[in-house]
Amino acid sequence: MPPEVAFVALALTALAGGVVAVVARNVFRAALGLMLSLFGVAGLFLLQRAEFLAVVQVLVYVGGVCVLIIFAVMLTEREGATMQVTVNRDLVLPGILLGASLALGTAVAVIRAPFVGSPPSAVSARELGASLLGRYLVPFEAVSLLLLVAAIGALMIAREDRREDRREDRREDAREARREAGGRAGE
Amino acid sequence: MGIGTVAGRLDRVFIEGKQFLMDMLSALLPGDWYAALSPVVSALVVSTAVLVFAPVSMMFLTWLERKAVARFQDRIGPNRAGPAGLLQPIADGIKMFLKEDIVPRGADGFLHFLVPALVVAPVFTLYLVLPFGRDMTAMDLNVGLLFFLGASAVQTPLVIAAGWSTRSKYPVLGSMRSAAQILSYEIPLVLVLVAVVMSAGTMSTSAIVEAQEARWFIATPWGLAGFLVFVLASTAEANRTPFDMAEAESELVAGFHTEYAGLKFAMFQMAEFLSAFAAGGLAATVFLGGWQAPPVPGFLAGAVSVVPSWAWFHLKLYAMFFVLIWFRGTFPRFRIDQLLAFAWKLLFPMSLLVIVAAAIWHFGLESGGAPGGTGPGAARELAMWGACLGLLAVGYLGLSAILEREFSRMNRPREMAHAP
Repeated sequence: MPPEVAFVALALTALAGGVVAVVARNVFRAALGLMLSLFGVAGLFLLQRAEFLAVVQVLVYVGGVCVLIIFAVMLTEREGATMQVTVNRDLVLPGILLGASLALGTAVAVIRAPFVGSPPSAVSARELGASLLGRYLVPFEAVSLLLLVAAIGALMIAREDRREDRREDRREDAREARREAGGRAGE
Repeated sequence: MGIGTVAGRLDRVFIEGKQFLMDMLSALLPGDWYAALSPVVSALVVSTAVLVFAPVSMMFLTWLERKAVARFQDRIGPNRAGPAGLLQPIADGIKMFLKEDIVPRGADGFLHFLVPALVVAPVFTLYLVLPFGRDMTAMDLNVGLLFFLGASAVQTPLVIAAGWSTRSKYPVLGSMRSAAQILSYEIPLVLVLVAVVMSAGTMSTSAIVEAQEARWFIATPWGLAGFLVFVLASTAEANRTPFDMAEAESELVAGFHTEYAGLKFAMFQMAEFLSAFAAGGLAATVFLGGWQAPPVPGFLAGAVSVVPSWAWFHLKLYAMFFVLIWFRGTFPRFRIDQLLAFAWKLLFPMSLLVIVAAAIWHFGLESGGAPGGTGPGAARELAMWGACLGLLAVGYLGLSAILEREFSRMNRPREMAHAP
């Protein structure tokens, strides 16, 4: 199978998923459309022999980001689950024109760009690891630290809520006990 | 000589079978056609083999599981369909086909139809990177291990979609639990594999098997601990007892696939079985030396080398699956809070310790002697065993003491309500 066929099929998959993600009225289906689109992109990476990138794309975006999105959708959705889609009809035509001109501009730029020689071969996981822990150690560690802080922060916020709840529960219990005691005293 | 050649042929029988098919094709087709088609046909042959292997294994795994669990419970198990109930899976399959397909009112019909089909697809791809024998990896990626993890990560959103599309409370609760569980146990699983990748110096599954030629990873202190963590975490990820919280019958009817009947249910069943089986295969690959024969003293070496590499792999694969059945027949189910505490407070720190132990082992031993050549002395190895095992044991004892206290605190206020 010539790579062109695979490329077109994967690109269409990615685009179709993207369209579903944007136009689906149901938030959950939109998230699934996003997943399809990300799969298409992962396939394109695979086609370019960037296996590491393809696998990480699936691992991080499909297995991580999409799951987070789905969780958010499930926790926030209300009755009916269809989005109130507000379409401003006056903006449809300008939107299409703007999108088309952007696409045209990108296409012209890509076609006219002089690609010299063969593209560099994809970086292997080994080289990637060596450079992350060698040359780019400081930025890598800085990002890790940032993520750690974010994770701890999220945890603190979540726990704060729970502590509030527990305090409220205790207050309620105390009130009830008092009421009960009062009732008994009244008798 | 004769036996050696026969054993060699037997070892390569599947590879030669595929070569035979390709040769036939090249004889039948004109040259340039063959050149254009051969990669496609080669891929088709391999994927057909995987697509046949997995469901057929699954059929007999269900039989094996029912038989074995029956024995654990002092029953006989299926014994009506065929000799020793061997045709039971086929009878089950026919039953599944004939069942009514029930779609709950208010369900998302399209997703309810689509998700059961989608959920098995990533599971099949798990088998592409498992080395079934010498030179028998369907897709020998240099990031094979990561591919396996990626393909199993795809299951999380699909499980949630399965629950959500029914718009019914038990499946939604089951899928939420399932997602929380998979995400929690994914972390120790991946961290333990990090230790494997560190020691093998590669992420390719076939190269990891080759790296264990001298010594299986389970025969090192970090490998032993890592293997235990891996088996526990992968059992949990595959939603099997004692971690089958997502479908705890007593509280959630049947978890995320409550509202699926007939063949749709069979698809979920198949995905679950096959991912557990594949996890066993990965454990065999990364800790038990994959398709390598076990190291035996000299006079047995001849007998061992006659057994083809794929048979060794299958032996280990089935042994791993039998352990899962054993778990199921023996252990009661965890409660969801205990389950998550177990993942975060014991397995996660233990997997970090495994990484540290792997590093100590690697730099203490392998950097001393020439790699592959004459190893460092036995005394040094013993010292390394002591150091690594000491580290792991101290960690384990400390963590389990903390966890034990936590569990007893969790249980105290509930004991009355749960008393039989």
